[in-house]
Amino acid sequence: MSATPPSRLRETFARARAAGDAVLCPYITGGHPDLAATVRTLPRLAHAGAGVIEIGFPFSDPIADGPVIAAAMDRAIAAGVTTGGLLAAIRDARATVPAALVGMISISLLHAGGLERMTAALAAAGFDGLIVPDLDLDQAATIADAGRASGLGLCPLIAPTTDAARVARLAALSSGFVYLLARVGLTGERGDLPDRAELLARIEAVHRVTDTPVVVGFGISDASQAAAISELADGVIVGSALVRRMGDAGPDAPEAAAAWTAELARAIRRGRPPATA
Amino acid sequence: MAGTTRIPDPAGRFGTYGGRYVPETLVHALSDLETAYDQARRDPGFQQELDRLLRTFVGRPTPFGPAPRLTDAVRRTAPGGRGAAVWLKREDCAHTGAHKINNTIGQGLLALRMGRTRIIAETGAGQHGVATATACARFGLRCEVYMGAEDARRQALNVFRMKLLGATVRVVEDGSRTLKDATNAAMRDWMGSSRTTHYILGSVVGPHPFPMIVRDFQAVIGRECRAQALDAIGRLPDAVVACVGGGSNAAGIFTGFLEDPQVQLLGIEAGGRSERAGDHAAPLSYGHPGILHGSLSYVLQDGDGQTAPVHSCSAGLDYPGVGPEHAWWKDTGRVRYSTATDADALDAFQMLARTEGIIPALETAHAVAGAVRLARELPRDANLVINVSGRGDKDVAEAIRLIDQSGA
Repeated sequence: MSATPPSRLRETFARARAAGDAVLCPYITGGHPDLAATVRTLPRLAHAGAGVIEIGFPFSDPIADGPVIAAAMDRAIAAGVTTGGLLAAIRDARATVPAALVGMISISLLHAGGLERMTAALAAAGFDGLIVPDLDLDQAATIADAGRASGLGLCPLIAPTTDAARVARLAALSSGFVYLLARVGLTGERGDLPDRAELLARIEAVHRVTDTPVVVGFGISDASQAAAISELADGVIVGSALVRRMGDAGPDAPEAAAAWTAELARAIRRGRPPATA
Repeated sequence: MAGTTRIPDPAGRFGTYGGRYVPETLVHALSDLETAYDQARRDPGFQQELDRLLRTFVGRPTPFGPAPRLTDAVRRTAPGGRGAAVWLKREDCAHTGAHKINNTIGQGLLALRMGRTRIIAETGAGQHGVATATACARFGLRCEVYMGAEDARRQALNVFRMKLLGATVRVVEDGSRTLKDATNAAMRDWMGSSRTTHYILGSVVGPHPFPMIVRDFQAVIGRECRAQALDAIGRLPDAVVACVGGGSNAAGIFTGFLEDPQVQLLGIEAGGRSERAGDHAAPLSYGHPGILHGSLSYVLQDGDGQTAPVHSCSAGLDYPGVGPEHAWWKDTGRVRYSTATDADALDAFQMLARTEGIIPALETAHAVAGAVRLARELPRDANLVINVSGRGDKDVAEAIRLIDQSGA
């Protein structure tokens, strides 16, 4: 198996930066509503304008996730989705997806599968990066190393409550992008946006300590919020709002996901000053 | 065990176990708690206030005494010349009927010190929820307790007790709708609320510093028991036995004897119906190291790392994980762990009631079952202590059902 460096992530952000664009990074729960839907959804998201797609691995006790994503995970597990089954489905679909793929996977699953074996399996399935939402910072270097050995970029999370010293440590570990949480609390949709100046200051604080792209997520629920964030950050993550739409759409989940992603992509482009004409 | 070694280490590790595997949003709250606890621990004023409350409100020290008729029963069924004298440490006599109050009073005081006005907690059987609601009523703190829908149905009496004490019970409909899901819900609440809210975790589980804090507040059991045993027996006991779910009562009493290598320590897990996956709640006996609820310890999970279903007749032991310090004690050999089945526990429940006039909690009945087994193997001049972690009033309805079912 080839140890591809996470070049797809790097190139995606470099291309967007050059064009003055932000990267749209939709999140879906793997195997929700079922594995076939995931396989059909991924290429559609990419064609609708997603530069990076995050795929959450269903876990029985996802404490970082809000009710929508937790329920999606429950549903996937109840339908018989396993880590191995999801990896195989992604591997089979990978060639049809012109976007970078980032796996969001709990440390519980990584530990159970064996860190090196799991990072190798993620890379072999075609993932470019890795988000571990419940990382113990004291062990994060081990995970970053294992990821790097497999060609996976580690994408650490930074919260509004993360202090400066920890921001520096987390940023130093980043080999994909930094996932900046827009607010405290859980994943889930919110009506309001965090204060723009405060968010910008937090993004700049990360940029001061790393060249890695800074992607903002958590609670972004509509196109105008996505557009507002895209003016500040290198990328915008939307999760719960998309997962909810997929759950509501039943058999049309892939089409619903693609339609909404296209809407967000248009809003993000509108929200940006055009690249040098 | 070297008394100079700081356990856990600054990263919250008991050997390789423990740690802080949590969403980034919780890290700050846990660091704050760690700092506040560290200051409180070294503040004589805090300790005095805690001691005063334990004496005047909780009813400490709890009694320690012999169990003569249980000892007779052990000796009647022991091989010739065997059968240790059995002693009881009576946490069932603590206010609210179990050891849980030691921790909630301690953490309640800590919350006051940190200026928090709202308390959240998770509960399985409802004992920790009741103990938390009690502490909050005493301190004038707002209290919300997360409880799985399945548990709330089985433990309606405790739901009422919590409400009576002024708490709000938040029924959790996620996942298996039991303790682990209530724990998830409480952690999720805390992620958004930690500026005003303290989370009183109920056992020696979860991310650092909880396993350390809960152990320290429960260590009063072991300190008292060691002194009481020296006084009543004239020497240290030969064995100490406690039940282990998350493991807080066991950690509390074992801590008092860790550095007395001549004292055998035995933890009894819930053996349930059988050794088959899903039929028990015994991670130390039948599980493997894994990560659940923020720390690395023995857990019951499938090959993927998904938390496995658990079963025990005792709602308080019905949990797929166990405190990381127990994992460390197991691996180092300082504590031995074994199981008692539902049937063993039900027999022991009746045995302690008939021989000593004490109806134990079904959790505690597991310890009694394991203790009787060990006492039969020990010589007659040996002394064995059982930690009677809670009283069984809460379990009477469930016991009637189980006894009828078993035709006993």
